[in-house]
Amino acid sequence: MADMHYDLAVVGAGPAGLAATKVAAAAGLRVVVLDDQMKAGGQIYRQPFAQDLYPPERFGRSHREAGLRMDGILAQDNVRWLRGTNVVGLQQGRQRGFTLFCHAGETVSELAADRVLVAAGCHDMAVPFPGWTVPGVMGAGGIQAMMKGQGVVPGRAVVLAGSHPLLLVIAAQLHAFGCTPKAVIFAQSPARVAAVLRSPLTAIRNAGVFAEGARAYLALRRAGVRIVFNKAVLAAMGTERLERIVVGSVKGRPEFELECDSLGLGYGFTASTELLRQIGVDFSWQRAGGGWVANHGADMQSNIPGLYVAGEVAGIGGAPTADVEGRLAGLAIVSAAGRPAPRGSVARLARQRRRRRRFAELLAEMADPGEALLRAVRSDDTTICRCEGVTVASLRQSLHDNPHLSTLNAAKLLTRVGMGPCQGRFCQAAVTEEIMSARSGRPAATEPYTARFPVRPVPLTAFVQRDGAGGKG
Amino acid sequence: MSDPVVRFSFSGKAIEATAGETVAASLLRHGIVAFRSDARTGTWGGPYCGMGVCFDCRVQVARRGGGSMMLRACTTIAEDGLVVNPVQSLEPGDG
Repeated sequence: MADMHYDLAVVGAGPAGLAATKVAAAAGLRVVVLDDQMKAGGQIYRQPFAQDLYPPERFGRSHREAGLRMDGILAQDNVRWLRGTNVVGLQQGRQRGFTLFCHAGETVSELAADRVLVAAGCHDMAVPFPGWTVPGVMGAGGIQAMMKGQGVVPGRAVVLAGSHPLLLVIAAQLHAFGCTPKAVIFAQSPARVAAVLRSPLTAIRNAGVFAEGARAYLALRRAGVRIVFNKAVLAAMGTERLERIVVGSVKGRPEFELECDSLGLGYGFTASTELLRQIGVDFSWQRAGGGWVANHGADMQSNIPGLYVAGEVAGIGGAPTADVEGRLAGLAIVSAAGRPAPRGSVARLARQRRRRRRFAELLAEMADPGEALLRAVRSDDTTICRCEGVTVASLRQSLHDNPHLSTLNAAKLLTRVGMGPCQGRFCQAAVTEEIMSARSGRPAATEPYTARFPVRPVPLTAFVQRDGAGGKG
Repeated sequence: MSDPVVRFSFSGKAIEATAGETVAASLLRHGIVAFRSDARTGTWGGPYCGMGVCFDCRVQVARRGGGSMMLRACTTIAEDGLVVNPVQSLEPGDG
């Protein structure tokens, strides 16, 4: 494998990665596509592990069709599909291109590519609050992933809570799956949602997205699901399994308890940027739009020549944005490789991209829980770093004791936040906010955690058994 | 169900799984959500992200004739004869 050289390596087999793959493969490039998961589709089009797990159109015709389309893209002769493969390191080659370090099964191997597209997607934004580490508390997207990919719902009495409209869609899917949620709890007021719905931008171009939410809302009402606004989950209780939650005002005043054994939180998303942080791409902070997101040019190229980004790692935009950015990156990569690219499409795609990004910003604004709520639920004794068990109080104490502490990396060295197996993916947003808040909101003073090779935990035996020669430089 | 069944154990308890599903899915189907314990805090942990990112669902997995490895339950496919155990966290400072 070490001698394989590709024109393009695509990290992430979701809508962005596969849109780029389609364009690049059509121009004759040799493409390798890598994904941690066993099936293509990313989160949005996550496919069942077995075809007969549930009726093929259970999650809509577009979900099924996207799965088939993606399988078709990956089946082409000049495309190599490496599923179940974690890219744990990325390094610029000595002469040209990049080396990718890939962990699959029990080995780590290398492959080389002239250009790399990182389209690694996103995951549920972690919102620390008391009890969020109790088994049974999950990201709402995690519950959806288990349902779509494995046909299992991780509990019998499910409550969804947060601020993202996607909660309605997930709740309706749970209902259709035969596990009607007990309640959906939104932090926003209905008036705020209505204000966004009245925006001319929403009405003209993106009615479909909101129509889906509205249909879900009506179906849930008919099914007797309790939908509440202006409330937040303030605490989760249980030891070996979630037993109940405390619900209260968005200012943090407890009001009532609900019994449940599964809680899904949907406050928005965090971009999966560890590989980009490891190689040293430039980032910007967008609290409601993905946290630390990669900077890029109009051709989706990062500040590192030959390294491209598309989709959620460039800011949360959803599947339509990911698709158009993937195509833009694909076209730029084809041109850079000296192949003729289809004429006239770049300007049209760039216009589409701007429209979709504007809509994504509007959606992010509507879904934003707001810094005040995040702080209200984050009490002193809340675990902020799940991996290392670091509390909010100990982080705040360190910030107080060390007035010059202004970066995530420094906080990591002092308190161990971000040092565990998730490597900061789940505490990054909250720790960034704590630092900015303690330092009067100076975002320039902070930068994301530096990620180190390997960006995801790899057993030492995998390095011993690796093929390919030499150690990592 | 006509799907082939595979059998593994979790904490010594026999778990029947559908071939092809993940260890996390099998455990959740059996109502198990506590996958690991933390000796420092006396608390339990379980799957959070459901998509391979958080490593909160990590379990200790031993294969027949192979060593034991800490793996994500949500990306590990259930196989016949796996011996799966909750991960017990190390002492402070060992992590």
